[in-house]
Amino acid sequence: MKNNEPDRVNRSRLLFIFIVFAVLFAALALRTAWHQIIKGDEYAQKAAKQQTADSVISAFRGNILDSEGNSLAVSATAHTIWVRPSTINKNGKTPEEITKNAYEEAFAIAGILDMDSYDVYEVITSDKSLCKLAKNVSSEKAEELRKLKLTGVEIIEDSKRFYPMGAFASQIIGITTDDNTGLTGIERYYDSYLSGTSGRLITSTDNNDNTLIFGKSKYYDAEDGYTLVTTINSNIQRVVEEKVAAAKERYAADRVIAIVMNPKNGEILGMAQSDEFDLNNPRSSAPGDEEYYETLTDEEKVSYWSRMWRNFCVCDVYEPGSTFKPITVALALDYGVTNMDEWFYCAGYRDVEDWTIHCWTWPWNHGWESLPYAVVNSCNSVMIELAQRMGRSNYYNGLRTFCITEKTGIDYPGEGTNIIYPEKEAGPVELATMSFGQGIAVTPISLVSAIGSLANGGKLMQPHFVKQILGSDGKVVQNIEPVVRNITVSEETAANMMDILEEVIASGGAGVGGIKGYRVGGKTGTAYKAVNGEYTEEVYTSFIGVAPMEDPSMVILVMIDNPSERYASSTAAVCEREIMQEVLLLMNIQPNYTEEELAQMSSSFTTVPDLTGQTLDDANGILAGRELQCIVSDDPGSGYHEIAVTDQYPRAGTEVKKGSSVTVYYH
Amino acid sequence: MKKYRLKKNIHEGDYWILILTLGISLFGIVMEFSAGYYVSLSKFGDPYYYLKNAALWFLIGWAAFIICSFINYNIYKHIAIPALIFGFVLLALLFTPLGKTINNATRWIEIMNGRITIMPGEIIKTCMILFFAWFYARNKEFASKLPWILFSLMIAGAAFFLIYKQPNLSTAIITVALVIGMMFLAGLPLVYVFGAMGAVAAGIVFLLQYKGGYMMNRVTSFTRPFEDALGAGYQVVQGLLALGSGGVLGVGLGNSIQKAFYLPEAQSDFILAIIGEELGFVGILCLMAAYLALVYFIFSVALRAKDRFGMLLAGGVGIHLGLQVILNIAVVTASAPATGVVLPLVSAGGNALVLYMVELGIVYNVSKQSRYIDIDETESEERSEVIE
Repeated sequence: MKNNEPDRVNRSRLLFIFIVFAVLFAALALRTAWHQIIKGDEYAQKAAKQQTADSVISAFRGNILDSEGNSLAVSATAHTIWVRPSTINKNGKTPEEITKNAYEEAFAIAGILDMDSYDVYEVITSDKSLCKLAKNVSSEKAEELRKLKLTGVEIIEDSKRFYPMGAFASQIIGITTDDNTGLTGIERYYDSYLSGTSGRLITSTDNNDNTLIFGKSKYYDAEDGYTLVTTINSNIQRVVEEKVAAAKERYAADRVIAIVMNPKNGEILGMAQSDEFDLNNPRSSAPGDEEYYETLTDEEKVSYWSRMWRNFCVCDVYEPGSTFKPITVALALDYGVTNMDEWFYCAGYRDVEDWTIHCWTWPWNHGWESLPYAVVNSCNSVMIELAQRMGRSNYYNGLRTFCITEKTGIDYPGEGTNIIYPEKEAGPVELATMSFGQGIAVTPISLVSAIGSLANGGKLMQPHFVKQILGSDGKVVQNIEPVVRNITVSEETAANMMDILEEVIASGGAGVGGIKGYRVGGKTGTAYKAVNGEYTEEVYTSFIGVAPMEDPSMVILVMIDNPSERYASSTAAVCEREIMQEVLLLMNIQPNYTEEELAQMSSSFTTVPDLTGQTLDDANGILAGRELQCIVSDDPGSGYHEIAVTDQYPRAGTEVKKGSSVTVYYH
Repeated sequence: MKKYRLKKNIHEGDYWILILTLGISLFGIVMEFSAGYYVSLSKFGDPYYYLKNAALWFLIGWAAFIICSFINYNIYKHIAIPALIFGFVLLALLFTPLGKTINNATRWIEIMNGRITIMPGEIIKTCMILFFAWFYARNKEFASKLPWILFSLMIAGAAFFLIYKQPNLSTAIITVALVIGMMFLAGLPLVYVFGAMGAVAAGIVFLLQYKGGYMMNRVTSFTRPFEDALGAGYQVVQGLLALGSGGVLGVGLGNSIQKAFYLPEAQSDFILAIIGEELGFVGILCLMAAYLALVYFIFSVALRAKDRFGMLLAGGVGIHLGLQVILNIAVVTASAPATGVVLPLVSAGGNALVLYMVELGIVYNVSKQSRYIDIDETESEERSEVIE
């Protein structure tokens, strides 16, 4: 029996095995402690990294409103549909059955999203891990899709920029990127105000990124962006856009731009260029350009878009020509080197050092003319005389007071810089040409701003697009007060300049700019277009107008790039008058007809004016102002529009029917 | 040398085994429920799926324990050989169409149209305990005579081969280690023990000598799971992240995040990692203490067994349990290559649970028949019926 009982050896060996086990247990306990205590924090951090999802709660981008509170840009909720093809339901035992099920699923999704079911099938059976199936899906459709409870289909809510008016004020408002960051225009300049602060949601998730109900979560609320109230008046903007588009068509021009600014506070009421684009679909061709667009490579398309999105009025420069003359005259008056009653003699040319600079009338001349008539006649000789009297240093100081030497500081990204000879390099010839607006290039906005100061008693206002910033609750966060940048000239000089500009319309070549019942002023301008530093045969015709003269509340600039007709008076001035006429009504400024105008309006006859000595350009304008047609005998064609008229038929003073023709002759 | 005295009530079992088994298996249900909660909810739409399963197997396991505790263990002497043959037949059946393959491993046999799945690899271990307990109890000399030693190793080798072929290396290793442990317990002469140890050491030295650092690197790569955190090391890394998240005190019962699809087999082979995450190092330490105590009491039953057969049965069960716990913890703590080893009584899986309960039931029966009980040396002086 002893043989069958546990013996000493068995007992000691049991004890030995137990000791080995105990030692191993102790070792493993230490090993566990190493992982849990020594390495614990490191592992816990790694674990937290994979266990949490940090999702951004996008802030609602603020709206952009016009001056009357109408929406120009709004944010709307949109949904993006993502698909994980690997997890999409592919039940079925045979390959045929799997294909059939996948196709049925594709058909159901396609039905809701208005897509081609075969396209959907391609996406959900692709071997990618995650694909975007559709974006900008409405809430209703997203809800319908959610009800299908498909695995592998994810619906992400985000906000999408929407422009209710489409192709309207496009260059001003600008566009955003896909992730709602401002890319151009006001959207970009005010991006930090509009974008708001996005919030965060940190949640514990399972390995498939689904949120755990028992996990921890932290929520940081998003702060919505501010709403901007712009100075753009939609009604005025619409008129400007219509007239600009019509002018481009009428004059077969490359481009037409227009700016309407309130000189009293610098508010831009309207600004347009002939090629608008659809803000809701900015990456496409401009209307009517589809065929050309299709031939572009991707790279060319990008530069095509940036040209299309560019705001010429603010970002580009052109030679202002005669529209710059009022600034020279205003400076001369203000420096006291001349006065309103002074008479000048124009010999048709003027010697500047070793050069002879011709007045445009050459080989004829303006003869004796008073200061206002030097502007009416757009006489280059007098401008040179005035600039020489002021001298280089005073003239440049004058340009500085008009802030021509710097940017206007308008609230718009990428403002262009005016091109002026550096003061030290400007010789007498450069000074002379500058005095009549050549050899100098300015942005349209800086010219409007400078002329605007003359219409505002000498106060140079900073032009701006945004006048008020509202919180997401609609309360005013900030009123943007008008900024006086400088005092350019005395009130008296400014008033004199207004008289001169009014005289230009009343008796000068810009008669076409006149509007019955209103006192308006203005100045035409024509300049050769410089391309890559070389002058071409192409011209910019422009017109800057002010109204009403008794209390100017608008300055309008129209510039036409390469029109088919080369007379500013019959192109830019016409377009400007069309705009001004409607803007006056929109601003509720009532007409006040003079007796003469009333008589003219009631009569179907008009008196033929004296045209001798006027340029062909001006003759055209004067006749148009009296509702008469101008026929140039043996039209010299392009490039010779500044030739002076020597004779006319019918003679001056003849009573003719409105709409009849007057033929003009030149030598 | 400890002294023993006769038990007063010969039908009284070792209640420590009862208490510890009950405690660990109840803890197992709770942890299976917690660790499987998320997967269960996502996979079956029912958070209680694993809980119901675990509760059912708990009842079946305890039924097996109670039945076995009432069966006189001497009966197993008569079924030792048939049991071994049965175990080998089951292992062989895996190579027939009855074998079910999951994840490239054929470890399961389905009967009754898949309503019951059995794992021959688990069953063979219990069969081995029965067979070798009977074999070495029959004649003490079998443990020290070379032919019988070789015979034992052949049987172990055959089992190793068949299990290794499934493939299931860890179970194969545990089976062989179990047999060697029982041989050692039965009285394997120390010269063979030292001889074997020397041979293993020589083999390691030889490999290092000729294959150098590369081999060493390969062999120890399991200790650096982060080097292939998304590939081969994924499961171990996720287990370590769970342990690390738990720290000393744990994130609280039910609060594990790693169980949410991050850690594969969270409710079975890697349940220890979730225990570590939810209950911390303190929780794991308590569980390890419970296991060590259980092994201790099983061994103490072996010490007091009335015969060699009882001693070898209980000793075999204790070795089996101890090996299994050690290997499982080693795998989870990246101290051994990752292999599918369950944590006894805690991991999900009906087969293993029922077999452990059967083994523990047998041990309990052995303890009931034990004639001796431990007494202190000081006490022994006063007692008259003390025997050595």
